[in-house]
Parts: sequence; C-alpha cells; structure tokens
Amino acid sequence: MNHAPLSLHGVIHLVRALRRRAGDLEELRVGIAEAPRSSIFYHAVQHRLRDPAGDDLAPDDFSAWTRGVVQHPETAERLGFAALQHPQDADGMRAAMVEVLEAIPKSQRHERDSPLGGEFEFLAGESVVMPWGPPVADAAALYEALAAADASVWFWHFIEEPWTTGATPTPIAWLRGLGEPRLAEMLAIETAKPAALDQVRRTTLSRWRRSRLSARVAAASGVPEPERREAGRRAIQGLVRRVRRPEGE
Amino acid sequence: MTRVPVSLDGPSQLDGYRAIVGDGPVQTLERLAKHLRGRRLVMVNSTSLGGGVAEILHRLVRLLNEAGIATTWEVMPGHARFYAVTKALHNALHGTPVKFTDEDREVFRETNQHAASTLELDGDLILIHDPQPAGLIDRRQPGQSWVWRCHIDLSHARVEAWDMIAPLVQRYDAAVFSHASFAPELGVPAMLVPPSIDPLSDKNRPLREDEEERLLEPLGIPDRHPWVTQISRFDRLKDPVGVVRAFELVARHQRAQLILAGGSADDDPEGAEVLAEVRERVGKRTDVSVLELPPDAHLTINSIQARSTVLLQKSLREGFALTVSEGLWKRRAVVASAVGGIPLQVQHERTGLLVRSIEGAAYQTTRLLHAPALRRELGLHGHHHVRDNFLHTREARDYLALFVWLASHSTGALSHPGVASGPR
Repeated sequence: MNHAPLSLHGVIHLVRALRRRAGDLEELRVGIAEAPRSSIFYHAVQHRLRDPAGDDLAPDDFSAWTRGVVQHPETAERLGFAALQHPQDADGMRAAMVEVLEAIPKSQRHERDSPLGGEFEFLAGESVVMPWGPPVADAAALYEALAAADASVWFWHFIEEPWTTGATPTPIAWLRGLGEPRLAEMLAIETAKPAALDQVRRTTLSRWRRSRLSARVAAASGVPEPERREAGRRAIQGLVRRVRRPEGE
Repeated sequence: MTRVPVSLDGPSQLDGYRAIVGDGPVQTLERLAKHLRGRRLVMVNSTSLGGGVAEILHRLVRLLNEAGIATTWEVMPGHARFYAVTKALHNALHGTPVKFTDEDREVFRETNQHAASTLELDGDLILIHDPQPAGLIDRRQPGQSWVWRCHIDLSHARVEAWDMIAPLVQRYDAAVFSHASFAPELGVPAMLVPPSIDPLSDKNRPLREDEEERLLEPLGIPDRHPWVTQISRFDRLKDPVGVVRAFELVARHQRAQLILAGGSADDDPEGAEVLAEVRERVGKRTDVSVLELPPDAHLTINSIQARSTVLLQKSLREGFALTVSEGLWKRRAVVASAVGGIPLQVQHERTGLLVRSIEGAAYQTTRLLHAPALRRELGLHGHHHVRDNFLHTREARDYLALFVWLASHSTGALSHPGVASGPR
C-alpha cells in the first residue's frame, strides 16, 4: 500500500498568441488539424476553468464561435459533442472535430464564414503548476484539503493532469494505493462528470459528507447513551445556527 | 535618480485585495512570489507620472513587494529630442504614417545606450514596458529573464516603426500584449496579459454618499434625469461627436443628461480641435454637459461613473479601454463598441451591450434607460467579471507565472521540484 503523503497542486494558465486565424469553417478545420496540443487544450478543455462558478458547462471555444459568429448551430452542436466525448485524449478530440467539419461539403465550409473582425483567433494555454497547501496523509485530510482548495486545484488534478499524462488523476490513484477503493471510485465518478467545476466540487464533497454519516453513526453506536445525547444536542444546535444564519454570511 | 520610490506606508494592499477577491488569488500570488523568493524583479518604463502604465506601476510594484517578491521600478532618463522620436514612434506603431531619419534612429539607440549605463538593471527578472526602453536589452546579463511588455495596439503598426523595434524585441525571452490582435509576428513567445485596474485606488474605491455629493456639486450637472456618460480624452478615435449624435437619437424618446468628460486638451492641438467639434455639435443643448477634467481628477471621475445610469465607450478604435472595466467594477450598465480589448470586458448581453454603430449605441442606451432590472443584472455580472479577470492581482500573477514558465523552459535556473510547466 502507498502511504506516502499526497501533495496537491494548482495551475495557472498563461495564454500565448499563435498568430493564426480562421475566418470560415474550412479554415477552422485546417487550424484544428494543425494546431499544437496546447491550443486544442486551451480552446476545448481550459475553458472550464474560466468560469468555474457558472451555472452549467460552458461550451468549448470552437463550438461557441461556430454557433455565435458563423451561426451554424448544427455544426456547433456536433463540435461540442465531439469535444465532450474525448475529455482526456487530445488526438481523439482533434480527429473527432475535424471529422465533424469534413462532413460538411468543402464549398459550404467556405460559405460559412465570419464577419470582418469576427475571425477565430487560435491561442495556446501554457501551464504553470504550483504546489497547493501541505501534503495530506489520509482520505479525510484529502477531502478536507479539496474542500478548501480553489478551482485550479480541481482543474489540474481531475481535468488537466489526465489530459496531459493520460494517467488516472493522482488523488484517485493515491486513494486506491491507500486501500480506499470505494472513496477512490466515488471521486472518479463525480469528477468525471461534464459539469461546471464548482458544481463538481459541491456534489463530490456532498457525497463525501453523506458517506461519512454512516461511519459516524456506526462509530457512535459504541458510545455511552449520555454522550450520544449530548452529541445529538450539539448537532441540532449547529443545524439551527446554520438555518438561522442569513444567506451569504 | 532613476529609481521611483514606492511607498509601503498605509494599509496593506494585500489585505485590501483579500477582502475583495478572497484568499485564493492572494495565496496564489504569494505562492508564486515564494517560489521566486531571492530573485529581484525590475520594472522599467519611461515616465513615473501621467499615463496608464505609470498609474498601474505605482500600485503593482507595491503589491508585488507586499506579496514577497522584491520589486523595483526604474524610469529611463531621456531628453526632448528623444521624446520627439519616441512620440513619433508611438504614433507610427498606432498606424500614423511617419518617416524616420537615420538621425532619429541614432537618437533612439544612443539614448537607450546611455540609459543602460545609468539604470539599475541588476535584477533577475526584467520587465520592460513599451517601445522607449526596448533597447536596454543590450545590457542583458547571463541568467536574467527579460520580457518586453507592450501596451500598444500594434495591429496597424507602420512597417518603418516596427522595423526599429522588432530586432530588439526578438532578443527578449518573451513579449507580452494586451490582446491577441495586437501581437505581431515574432520569433519569441507572444503572451497575452490584459491590463487591469486597482479597486483600492481613488478612481475605483467605493465613495460615501456625502463624498460623492461633495465631488459632484461643483460640476453643476443637472440631475433631474438619468446620466448617460462617456469618460475619455477628446480624441477622434473615441468618437465623442458620434456619442452626441447617438444621444440626439436617444433624447427623442427619453429625457436624459449626456456627460462627456475627458482630460484637458490644453497640450494637445488635435484634442482642442475635437473638443471644438463636440461643442459645435452640442450647440445650445442643456441636456449635454461637456467637462474638461485635470489629469488627477480620479475621484471626480469615480463619482461621475458611480452616479451614471449608463456608461458609454463608443470608440472607433481602442487599445484596451480600461474605462470599461472601471464602469463594470462600479456595477454600471455599459454600452461599448466591439473594438480592441472591449469585447474581452463586455460580453454581449451578459456583462454589458456591444454596439457597432451610432444607431446601435442609441438603441441599446434607450433600452437600458427603460430596463432597471437588466441594468442591475449586467452590472452585477460585469462586477464579477472584472473581479475575476481585470484586477491588479491577476496581472501581477500573470507576470510572476510568466517568469516561472520561462525559467522552466530555459536552463532551469529557477527550477523547483514542486513547480513545473505542464508538459504537452
């Protein structure tokens, strides 16, 4: 079993101009086919970190441009789905998006163009990965650290790290090594959901807290009755305080 | 004396930011600074007074020092002949046709050479702002990282002007631009770092009601009707006459007060000309107020923006237009042209409304004057958008991250086992 403490990391993305533009769907196709991986990453993966508190999953840049500027919603839908299907596979994502665009006859790809000044600008995301907080030694500490971590930590470990290395996210592999396969599986399922990052965080942590309830109940069954009553009173008092607390406080 | 003293007195900027953006962005800044600890950052530009770059540096240098990275600010010494050349260079980089003589080029080169011998460029990380000091790269020492930060829109740069700068820029480790469309073809990485505003400064801090009244009272602006305001220099590219024409269309349907407020035009012959054109167009209208403000009227600008119902930025061409972020930060409803860096700040129908014509500006302004709920919604989203993307903490973070990134792509002088540039 792997008992070495786990260090979490966050990420900062620098944006690099590639000096390449697409003015129609054919140029978009060629651009996607030839773009460096860091550009596919920036436009079809990194956008999830730009508005982590959004209500839902924001569309990738390629489909957003196709829908909003070129105004070809059907292709936008298909591009969006292609990006969603390959969250950890740059080559697969690229091939799927190129295939969507190649399904449109070439002459029509040229006809579907942007107004002057509305060209798609290819950019690249360059990542700077930084340690985040002290290392954690057990599953509870990991979840507590994730609860306190900002969106860039969630993004790095559960989206960018597998995209970059093709491997299982470090916290999930670490939990398995720690002999916590059930918690690892729960983390894997929740963090793989294609939702806004804050939503992923909320549902993951909520499942974790619920899973701790049964453990706490089981642990409490061996505690003498007066202590259990006192613990119950404290829990109710805490709940009342939370209910009474004005929103946002 | 070339070093600009930056006061560390008064309340902590980091604490001020923590209250605004939360712990996360401040901690990120501190982590980056911790990683770079022991290194010294030197900022260089050509003036410590006036202009957006100096305004940013006064605050940013302090913020970086508070975050834990020793940062100094050097101002390049110059003379009248040099400034005449660099002013022409600036205009030509913006697209104005200018012819440079060999003598001009020599003045530029010699002044940079002289400055290189007087400035304290002994830091590990050197950030050079704008074209004037670009030639300082001759002073580069082994182990240093040099970055050129261009605040100018180079998308219409004249070839003869860019040819003066390009050979110098190619020798930097990276160049930084405010917007993708401003970045020319380069042999070095062209990074994008939008400029930012300081929510703690006089121009952007929240004003008490009595303070606001006291600032607005001397201006004598009628306040019976909602204010529609454009804050900008009297410059044709800001289209102040177009703003008046748009307002004439608005006023057919809705009583309102237009305010055009900008810097004094005394030292700018073209500014005076444009101001005269604006006054002529306004004529005897009493529902239009044209204000000439001194360069340090930050609090007055703050109070006008805060009191306005709709803020306009109807530019024909723009660099970044931080007045837009200033308005959004104050939760104002903004109507702005889709040019330059404005669309990064105004996301149409989410953080503001983008327009492309006089009629468009009139339509969206009229719409907003009748829609308080929409104004509130746009203002709220705009405020959050600026908080997350256009405050000094983000700009400082990007500069530090860039130096870390450069280090991981060079000899590893700053490499650290826990910090890496994501492999692709």
